[in-house]
Amino acid sequence: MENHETILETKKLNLFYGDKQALIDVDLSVYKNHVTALIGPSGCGKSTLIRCFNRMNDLVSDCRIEGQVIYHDQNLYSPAVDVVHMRKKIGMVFQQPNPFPKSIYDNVAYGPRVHGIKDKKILDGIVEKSLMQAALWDEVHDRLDDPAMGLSGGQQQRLCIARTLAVEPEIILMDEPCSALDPIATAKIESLIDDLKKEYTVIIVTHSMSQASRVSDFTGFMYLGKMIEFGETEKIFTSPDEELTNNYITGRFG
Amino acid sequence: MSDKFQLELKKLKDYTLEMGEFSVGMFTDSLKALKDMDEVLAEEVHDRKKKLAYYSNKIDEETLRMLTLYQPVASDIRLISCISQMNTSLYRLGRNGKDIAQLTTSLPNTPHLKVFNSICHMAEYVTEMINDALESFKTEDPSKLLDLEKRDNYVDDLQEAIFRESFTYMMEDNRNISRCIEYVMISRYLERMGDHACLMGEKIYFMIEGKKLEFH
Ligand SMILES: Nc1ncnc2c1ncn2[C@@H]1O[C@H](COP(=O)(O)OP(=O)(O)OP(=O)(O)O)[C@@H](O)[C@H]1O
Ligand SMILES: [Mg+2]
Repeated sequence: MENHETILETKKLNLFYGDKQALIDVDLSVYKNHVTALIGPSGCGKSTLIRCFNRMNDLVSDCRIEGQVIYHDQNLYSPAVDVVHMRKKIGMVFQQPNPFPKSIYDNVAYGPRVHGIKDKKILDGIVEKSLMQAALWDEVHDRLDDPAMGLSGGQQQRLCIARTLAVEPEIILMDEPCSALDPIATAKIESLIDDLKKEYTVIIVTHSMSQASRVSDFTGFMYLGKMIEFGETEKIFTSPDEELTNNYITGRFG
Repeated sequence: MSDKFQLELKKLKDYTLEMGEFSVGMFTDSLKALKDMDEVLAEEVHDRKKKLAYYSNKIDEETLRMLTLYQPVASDIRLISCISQMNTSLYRLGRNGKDIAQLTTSLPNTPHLKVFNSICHMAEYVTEMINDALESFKTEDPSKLLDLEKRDNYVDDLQEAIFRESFTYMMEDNRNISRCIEYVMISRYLERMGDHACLMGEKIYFMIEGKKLEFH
């Protein structure tokens, strides 16, 4: 782990929803160009943690955060951070595919347009490249003006990934991106994730142990708001240090 | 994973222990038959090879089935991978018992030479190594595994000594040749069984501790 470059890091991160504490002293290093999986039983704080990485929790009114999330030597929660720019660099893909009710093309071009790109040629290029990277181009290149809602669930999810890639992020956050998909669509997303890490850093929350072990390089196991164990995925799934991790991934509780 | 899986895993572990007892039985009985020149017992040990194969196939099938159905991880996969190695080793152990039994029935029953005492000592020593491995597997207490390598080195020395001693007997009197060849072969089987005790020991240690203990 020592020779990997850290791209994102939490230091003693604590998060409260009102007086309920959802994250407790979480220390985590996310390594560049690797896939990090977050696993743990329902309610342990995986989504809460991943939402801290692009300050989605700002939208929750009584949410309070202590500690730091360091990204490029800067605390994401310091007032100096430009949240719009930060969200461009740290994109998010959700559990339910959520394309806009627009054409396939407009979905992907949306972000770049928001960031001021108007030139049709440049947009065309971005749309093609993003759809290629999201492994969707071959399936949709001849119907880019069709409504995105007409795509299958798996295609919609890849479209959402393309939409995230279109603004050239560094980090892609995925919260259970395959839970609404069938096994074939899931397999496509998984192999996509593997391709993506050449250029991006991926953090994925998943309930599927086998998915975590297939797609990730590092795995963090969370329980009751704490990061119980973090390490190389192979190690976590063959000989975790913590009994709690062992009991969870072998299905003895959860 | 489900309680069903844990239950099946427990059963497989117990079954492996049962196979262990059976294989050790073949091995020790074959040596007993050799010692007492008991051809009836030797025949009987020889016939146990069918049941041995049955144990081995059954464990093979079960491990494959459980890997496929449950995709086990962590301590569960360590247990299954350990059982797989044990199956191989215990099968070899039983087969060696069969081979020793076969020597007893096929070679002339001339009286044993003094060097046979060393064979008996070596056999007991190796059997204890294997029993200690099986015991650790059962209780998940790794303490008896730690000096297996040292004990294996001693087994290697014994084999050397038996080889040299047998050789001297053969030079002395060529009527000793058939017995001595038998001793040399058996000491070779025993030496291999020491290795298998170590192979099992490594896997059992990893199963228990999640860390490697490597014997060389
Ligand atoms: N907006 C919110 N307001 C209050 N409490 C919340 C809010 N969001 C989450 N929580 C609580 O915080 C804890 C962590 O929730 P979170 O959604 O992060 O868990 P999770 O690990 O993602 O679970 P799941 O696997 O079910 O998605 C839970 O106890 C949850 O009830
Ligand atoms: Mg969640």
